[in-house]
Amino acid sequence: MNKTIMMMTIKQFWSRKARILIAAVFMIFPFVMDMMMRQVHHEKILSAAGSAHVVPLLVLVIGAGIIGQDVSDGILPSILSRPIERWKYVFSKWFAISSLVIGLAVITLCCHVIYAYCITSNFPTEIAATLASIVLLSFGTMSVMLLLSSLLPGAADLGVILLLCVASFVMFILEEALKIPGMSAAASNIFAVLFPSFDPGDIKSLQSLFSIEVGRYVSVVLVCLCGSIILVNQKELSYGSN
Amino acid sequence: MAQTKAVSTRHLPVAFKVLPILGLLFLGACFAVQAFLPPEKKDLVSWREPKEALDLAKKSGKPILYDFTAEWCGPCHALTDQVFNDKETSKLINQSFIPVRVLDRQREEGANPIEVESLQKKYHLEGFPTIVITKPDVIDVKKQVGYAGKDGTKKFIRESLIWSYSGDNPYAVKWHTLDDALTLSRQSKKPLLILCWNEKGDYARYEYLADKELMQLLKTNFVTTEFTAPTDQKSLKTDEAKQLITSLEIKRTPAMIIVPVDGSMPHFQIGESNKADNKDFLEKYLRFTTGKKAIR
Repeated sequence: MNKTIMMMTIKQFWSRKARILIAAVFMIFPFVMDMMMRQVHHEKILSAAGSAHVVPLLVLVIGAGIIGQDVSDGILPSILSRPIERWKYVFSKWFAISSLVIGLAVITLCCHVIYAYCITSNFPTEIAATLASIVLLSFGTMSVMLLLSSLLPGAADLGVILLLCVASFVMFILEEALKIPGMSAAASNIFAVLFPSFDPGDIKSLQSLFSIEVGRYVSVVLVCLCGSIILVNQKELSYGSN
Repeated sequence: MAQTKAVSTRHLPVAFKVLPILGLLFLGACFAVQAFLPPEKKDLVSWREPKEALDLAKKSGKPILYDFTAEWCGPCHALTDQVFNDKETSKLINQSFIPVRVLDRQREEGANPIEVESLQKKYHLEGFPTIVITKPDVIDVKKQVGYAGKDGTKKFIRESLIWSYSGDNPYAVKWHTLDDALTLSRQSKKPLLILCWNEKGDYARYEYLADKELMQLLKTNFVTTEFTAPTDQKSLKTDEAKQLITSLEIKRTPAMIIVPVDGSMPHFQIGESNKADNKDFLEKYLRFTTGKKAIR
């Protein structure tokens, strides 16, 4: 891993004010959910799980164009004009954004726990499970984003993910409204690949470690991460005036 | 002069070529394990310790569900497999109850822990399995001794949930069959109130009816019936009941429907609503039709 690239990646995010604003808006999401749960269901004990729901949103905002934009802006050729191995560049970018997302999501979780305690006088449930989900979702979703970004220019990776999300929603509606079988299952699988994660609480024995959810997570993360490293390694970059 | 060997920026450790293949092999292994090994027995209900359960019940206001069970008891295993490990029922139990498993060790160890012993005495345990549903502030309990089958036990749990939220239950509502309810409605000149749940019954019923005033309102002013949609027409005896179900065309659940005695248009409250909304719906109907305030 290369510390300089990691710092540069984080600085890139801080220099994009619009992205910071959108990320901040998403971080308010769990509090709105809590308020709704209190108003509608009069819940006395809230769940902290809402904090994990912001992770895919944060990854989409922070990680969009993680490699594609570097290529489009001409940053990548100048970085690679130094003796930095390309896999270290990709790996550092992936780790930097994932860590940033985990940090922001943990801040949200802490505020969420305090807020839930203030309005209900009870600590929310599932704090440890939410923390684990945050870590798994961050690394998982970021690796998918990384693969798409190494394939597509600019922030087109975000467009593809949003398009797939819309397609999945349409598939859900098709099964619900027109009773077309298998649509919901296919849409769920698309979501499971785009936002890979599993419930760590389900792993209670060696056999449960070999569940489809765990297998899918491991394979998606490894294929996406190594795939993007191989793709960037094969890229022909112009070191010209760009 | 010593020469340092420059590493190409395209240098790629072999691991990055091998890891994706290993990942896919692992996924294949997971599919194989799922396909060839028998499914692992998982407890879908989040059982609590008795002491922790009491604190949680006081805090959350939820009823406690005690499952008195023993290792050697066959029906207890059937109850666990068919009811507690059923996805929908376990979800309902986790959402609406504080579940406590009380495991008897008398046969295996010669004696039970004091906590188990005192709970068994407190609820006058007569056999295994026994399900007891209670609330910390309520003296009375709901008890099912023996295994009443999957459907019977699910029904018991659902009914106990409504009971537990009507406190000591002085105004318990009697739920009639639709055929009986229609006859009673005609005789008593009270409107018919139909509650329609979905097949899975996963909607938290206590949110829907758990209010003393609401239960009293139902008992005093309506003839009540409940069933699951879609309804099997064969289970209905009279043509009148069959016609009513056909004409109501219930497509969404939960649904609360008031069928007036004079044959006028039914009043619907469809979709998830809380007890306050439901009370409001009934009171508005009574004000609208009788011009008087609801009798409580």
